Amino acid sequence: MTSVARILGALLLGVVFSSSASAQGFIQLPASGPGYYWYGDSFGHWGTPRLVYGMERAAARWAREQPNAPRIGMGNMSLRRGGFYRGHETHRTGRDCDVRPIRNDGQEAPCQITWGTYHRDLTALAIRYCREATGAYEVLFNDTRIPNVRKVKGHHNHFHVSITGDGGTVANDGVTASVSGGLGAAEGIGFVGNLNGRRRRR
Amino acid sequence: MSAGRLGLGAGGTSDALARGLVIAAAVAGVLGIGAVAWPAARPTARPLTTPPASTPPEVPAPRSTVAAPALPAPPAAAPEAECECAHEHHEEQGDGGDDGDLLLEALRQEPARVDEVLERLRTGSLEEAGGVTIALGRFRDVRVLRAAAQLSDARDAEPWRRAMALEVLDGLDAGPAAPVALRALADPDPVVRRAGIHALPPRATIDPERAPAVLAALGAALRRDADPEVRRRAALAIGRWATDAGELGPVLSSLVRDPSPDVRAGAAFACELAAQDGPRVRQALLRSMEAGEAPLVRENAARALEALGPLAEHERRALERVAAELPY
Repeated sequence: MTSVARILGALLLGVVFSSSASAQGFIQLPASGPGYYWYGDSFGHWGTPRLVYGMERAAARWAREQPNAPRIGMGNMSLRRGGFYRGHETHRTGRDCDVRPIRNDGQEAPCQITWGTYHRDLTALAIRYCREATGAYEVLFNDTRIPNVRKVKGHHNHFHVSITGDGGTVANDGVTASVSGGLGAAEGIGFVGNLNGRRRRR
Repeated sequence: MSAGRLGLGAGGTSDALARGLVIAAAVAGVLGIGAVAWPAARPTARPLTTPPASTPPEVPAPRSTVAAPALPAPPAAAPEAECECAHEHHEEQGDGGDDGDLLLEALRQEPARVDEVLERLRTGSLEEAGGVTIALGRFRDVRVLRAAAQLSDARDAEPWRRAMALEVLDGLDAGPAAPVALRALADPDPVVRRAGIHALPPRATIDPERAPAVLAALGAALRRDADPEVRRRAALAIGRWATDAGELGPVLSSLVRDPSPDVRAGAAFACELAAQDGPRVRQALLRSMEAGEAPLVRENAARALEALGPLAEHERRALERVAAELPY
């Protein structure tokens, strides 16, 4: 391993597994829990406590009230320290979460709103639960038959929940600094995401 | 860690599987090593799959320094039926899945190649290992469970790698992961302890007689662990596991006494997850809603109290006060 690679690796380890929970006060969504499962990037399920608790709250309600439906797929949130996240440029501050549309065949798998496996009613319900549980100010999604969503390019296979406010971070919130300061290690994580994106698609 | 120590040698496990034993119970026996032994486990709601007879489960190879093999090629994207309507959204197309989905689909098509993917977890770099954890955590196969459990226990492995193995167990939600998760709670590295708590499977997946031991271990972590994030996760885990208000005792204590507001906020959310009503629960939540407490603690406590059901007049007033004073 070259010294450059060693340095990059050390930075990466520091970002992903340093001794504090997160300098930004972010917490990690567990890989699975009542009513949900992870998809996406394993480095990218960090968010402000209000977002993470809110999404868990929505999923727990889903498990209670829709026990026969497939679990909700929770996708990318933010990296552990926030900042640039390749492919998820708006997911910098721990206040955004991608969620899969619900399928009508019971599968916990990708789905687009144009597919025959798309279940609009259940997806609308999932959006409502997420909105109510997080106090989301905006949901981006391209099925505009669902009320109060905003159509944005690229949101045909997931809806995007955004919260506002301080996110409930009790610890010192250095998100702004990490974003504007171009935290090198955080860029390293984006680099990892890019690696993962290319490796299996070649 | 040797195969003998795990009791995996001589095809005993294969025979057991071939006899059609419940996989979760069989693996619980296999993994019954260390401080907590599990004589039996209830089958999980989503049972793990067994490898085909032609590819019996093997003991994972010792960790090596050779480069990880190429991963199975992702399958071609399967065409999906389009819905009958003709919305404007038809303009947007894409594969609809990410790399984890592609890898998971590849594993389902070629389950015999799971060992190649597991090798990434065992010997790959941080980014290589991180690239396979989600797919492995959703590939419900006994070989994954066994390998992730072994790696979680491997004291000679890097803490981050053990944490990723525990992350895989977290995704599997399989009862046999419980003793592995509990052992991780005693690890000197907080990264491993945190991941261990997340790896704890749902209460319904384990023998009910073992639940008090798990709750006691979580309670001890909540009371005594030096790392606030471990304590916070322990509080949430108790909240997910508790089936009566009495089991929430350590959480209620932390809710009002823990020095970290992060932990207190987690304890309040744990009360909401548990949804167990009782005078002590309501009293602790009301106290946590008072002015001067951290905003998120107040919000979580208020949401937890509201979720408990009919409110007394003083509880309703407290709730309204929090709603009016918080900036959300």
